[in-house]
Amino acid sequence: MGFLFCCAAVVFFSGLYLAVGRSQKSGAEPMGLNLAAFLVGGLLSILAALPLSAAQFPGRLIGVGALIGIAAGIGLVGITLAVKAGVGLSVVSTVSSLAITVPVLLSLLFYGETPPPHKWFGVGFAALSIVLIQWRRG
Amino acid sequence: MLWLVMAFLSNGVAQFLQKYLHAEGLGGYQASALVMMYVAGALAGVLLVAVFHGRIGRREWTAGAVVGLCSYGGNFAVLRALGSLPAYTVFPVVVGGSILVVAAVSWLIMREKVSPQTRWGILCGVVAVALLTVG
Repeated sequence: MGFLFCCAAVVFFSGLYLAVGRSQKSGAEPMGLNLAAFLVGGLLSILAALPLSAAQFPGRLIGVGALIGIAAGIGLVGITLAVKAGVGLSVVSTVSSLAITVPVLLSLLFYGETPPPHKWFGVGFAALSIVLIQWRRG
Repeated sequence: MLWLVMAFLSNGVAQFLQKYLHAEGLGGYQASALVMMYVAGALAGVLLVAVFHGRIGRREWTAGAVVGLCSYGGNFAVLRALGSLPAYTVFPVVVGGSILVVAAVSWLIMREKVSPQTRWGILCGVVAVALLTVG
């Protein structure tokens, strides 16, 4: 069952990038698209969390959750504007996915967590990937 | 390039904050965290529309509904998958799989032109995702 959910997640996240690509071909405005996407996501998340109660929202969760939402919103705007600027969907999805290097490096900085050797290789491959993708893009 | 950097850093910070949420013992509040995330994202979206004179018409609603559904559906499916599979299996499959599916659809169906360097770059990206998400 877990693997089926993984496959569903792949379909949904791939669909997200492809929908962004299609939206920019149809001329959708990026800021409006971002707002509509978060309103629909918000509605679905509230429906799934019903019945809501104050106990479900401790103070720290509200603060950190809000920061995650703002960062994710700026991320979606960045993805949409990159696609609008003509960057290929395959490049945008790869670079955006490589964002997983950021928590590894920030954890080293803030928590003093030393990543195991294979994660350092992962950071190296991520850097190499971005250099190769940007090779002639400038 | 600027927009790619913005997407990279913002998504990275969002993922780091999710890790922080777990480190603070709030990992059990996943449904509430998703509500907060989308509501705060929507409020920030209102601000962006106002500041940058964005517009939200039929095209934006149609595309936004699909993007929002895919975003929520993906997050929901990942959370459910984590209930029965370890994270070192879920994340490489989901993140690496998405890169490959988008690349395949872009090249084969949408006829996106991609240089050999970019293809190698995407391959290195898939390897990086696998290495970074295992263990």
